[in-house]
Amino acid sequence: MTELGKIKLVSSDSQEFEVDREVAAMSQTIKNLLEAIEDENTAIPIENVKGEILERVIHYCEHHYNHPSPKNLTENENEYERRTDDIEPWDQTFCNVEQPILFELILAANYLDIKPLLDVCCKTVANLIKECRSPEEIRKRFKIKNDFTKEEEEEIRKENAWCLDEK
Amino acid sequence: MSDQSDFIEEKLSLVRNQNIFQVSLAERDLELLSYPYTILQQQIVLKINIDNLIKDCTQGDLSPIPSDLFKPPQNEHDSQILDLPQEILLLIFEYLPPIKLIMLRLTCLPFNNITRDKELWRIVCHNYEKLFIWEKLYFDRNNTSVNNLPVYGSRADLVSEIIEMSYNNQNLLNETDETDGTDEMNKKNKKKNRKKNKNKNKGKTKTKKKKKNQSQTNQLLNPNEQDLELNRTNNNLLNSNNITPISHFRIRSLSTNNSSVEKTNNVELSISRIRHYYIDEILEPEYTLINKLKKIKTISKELFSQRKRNSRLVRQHLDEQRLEEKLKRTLPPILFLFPLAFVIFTILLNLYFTYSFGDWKPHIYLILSPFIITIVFVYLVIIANSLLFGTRRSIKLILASHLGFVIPMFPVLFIVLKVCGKLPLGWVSALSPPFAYLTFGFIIALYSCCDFLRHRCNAHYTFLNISMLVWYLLFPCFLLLLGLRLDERIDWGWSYVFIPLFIFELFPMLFLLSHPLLTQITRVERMDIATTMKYFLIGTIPFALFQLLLILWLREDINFSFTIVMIPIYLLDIVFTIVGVSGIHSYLFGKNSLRAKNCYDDI
Repeated sequence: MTELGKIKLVSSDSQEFEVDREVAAMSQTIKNLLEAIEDENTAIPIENVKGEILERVIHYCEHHYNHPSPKNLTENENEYERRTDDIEPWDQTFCNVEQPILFELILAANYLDIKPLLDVCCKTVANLIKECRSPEEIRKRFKIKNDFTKEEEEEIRKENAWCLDEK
Repeated sequence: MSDQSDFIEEKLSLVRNQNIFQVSLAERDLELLSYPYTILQQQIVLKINIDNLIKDCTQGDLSPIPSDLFKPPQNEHDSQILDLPQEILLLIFEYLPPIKLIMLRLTCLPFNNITRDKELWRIVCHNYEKLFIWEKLYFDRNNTSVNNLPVYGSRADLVSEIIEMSYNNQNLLNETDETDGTDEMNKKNKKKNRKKNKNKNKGKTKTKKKKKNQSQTNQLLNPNEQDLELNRTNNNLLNSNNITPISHFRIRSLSTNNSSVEKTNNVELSISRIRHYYIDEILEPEYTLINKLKKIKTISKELFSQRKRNSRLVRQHLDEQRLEEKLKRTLPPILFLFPLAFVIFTILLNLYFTYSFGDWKPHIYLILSPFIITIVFVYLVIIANSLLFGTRRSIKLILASHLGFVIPMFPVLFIVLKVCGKLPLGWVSALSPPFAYLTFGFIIALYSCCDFLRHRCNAHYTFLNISMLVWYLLFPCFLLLLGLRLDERIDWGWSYVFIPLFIFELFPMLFLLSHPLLTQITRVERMDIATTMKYFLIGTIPFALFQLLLILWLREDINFSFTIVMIPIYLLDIVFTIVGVSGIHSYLFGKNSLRAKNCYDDI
């Protein structure tokens, strides 16, 4: 049995988490699910998310439920505006994790449809990329294998020479 | 599903028969069979791995199998970022500046493909308004320079236009061999370029056409001249990155018009490479070509005039920007003067009321002199400033912006004249110009306040606006009461006269206690409000004390020196001096100093 106003989430590796209904409803996916099911006590399986990640996500939701971010109140003025320098300090520390975890957080946020979390993670990754000064650095940082042939790479380099020379 | 597991098992048993890998595979085997079937992808990967393994084994290749072959991709720490679905990668890339996108393009194949997404570029270009790269690209592509800036109405137009152009040009870069010719913008660009080439070599083009027809009989240009021109054309075309197929053709036909056989060969060759759109144009009769040239000429004329007009607008915009910088440079020193004047004023005022050196008393003009000097100085600065930096337009703007400071001084002059006894009017009429000025301010403040409340942006600005409104409401009231009291039309006590000012000093408290927005304001807003409140209190507390003491002094219940009345004002002086000095300091050396402003963060 779960407490009143609480629901149970089960991760892919069958860890169970008890969460406030309201907190869980920050995830659009869970919210829709909750509206669909009648029995309050059913445990909700979150199949695509591991326990470790789900715990983090719940932590994020709880924090932001208790400290609602004011930015949600004001509408985004410009649909094209993308800033990466407006991450709140708490979110910054939250996202300061190893890359695999960060990417899984992104996938979880995407799956659970928690837009602020998705945004903040994407911004963090974008910042990581921004810090790199060259393609090689990007490859090193994200452990990307260079799968171009020499000719291909040269071709792309030539094609984009007009802006790469600037740097 | 079960078929597949059977299949895998079969393969595995095959492997096991090879004995060599039996041990290592037995463990994997168990794991594999316990896998949930939902993870189909991993199974397939495994299956492929096993297939390879079996192939290797059966071929007798006994080289050790790398152990990570069996790792499901989730545990692979290599390039986790590439495991993200494309739409998420796009979400991330939207935050990046163009230059980083190009870098990503060079990292690996998947990124190379993803970063060509059209919507992504649209967003990125809109997001990063620093369009240096794009502008440069645009100029490169169109063989223009900053001097003849392209065709735009306003800054917004300019930005969107360049984005559009550069985006399309970017496409062009990628597809030098296959241009659609459907995109209107592309067409325009090409036409422009072609026109340029044609104009430059107009005569030559014509002769060339003729030559094309009569090339066997005679050549109109001698070989040397022709070579020179040929080189020039080549250079032109190479300089403009925009080598369209048609220009290729031109070069070809030019360089080969010595012998007709060669030429026809080459033409055929090029024709096979050039697409229909251009072939039609090349092979069509001369008169249609001339017609077309005329058409292009008119179009380019229009474009040119438009460009001229718009380059003027752009220049104006730049002017305004430069002007803003100049204003920023001149304002702080002027703002510093006012606290200084205030300090001198208070000291002189104190002297006036307390001391007399024999028969000499500081004249009232002397007391007010700091303000007068400041005003004069401000004017001088404005004039010098406009003479030094200004164009006619900028002088106008500078004057307009400084008028905001100067206009309030005229009502003050009225009061000065009255105090000096030069004005044969009552106090009420002497105070009416400031009264009128403040009432006007009240109307403006009311308007902006309504605007703010309707849109409900920032609690801090709302606070500032409302306090402005209250100030413009209460201060005229005070002036009215003061005038009436000085004319002795009313015989209230002095304390009543000062009531409006006291209300104003209490206002922030009332505001903070009652404001409904405060329940949900942000941290930043709260900090802003706190800072404003700090300055507000620093200003108002001494002033409120001063008022209290002044009332007591005026009532003459207790006799004490005017110096005591002035003590709070001296406190205020100190604060003003500190603020002024720190303002100057931060202006010269601070975060927002001119030096700091010149550094741009990377794009």
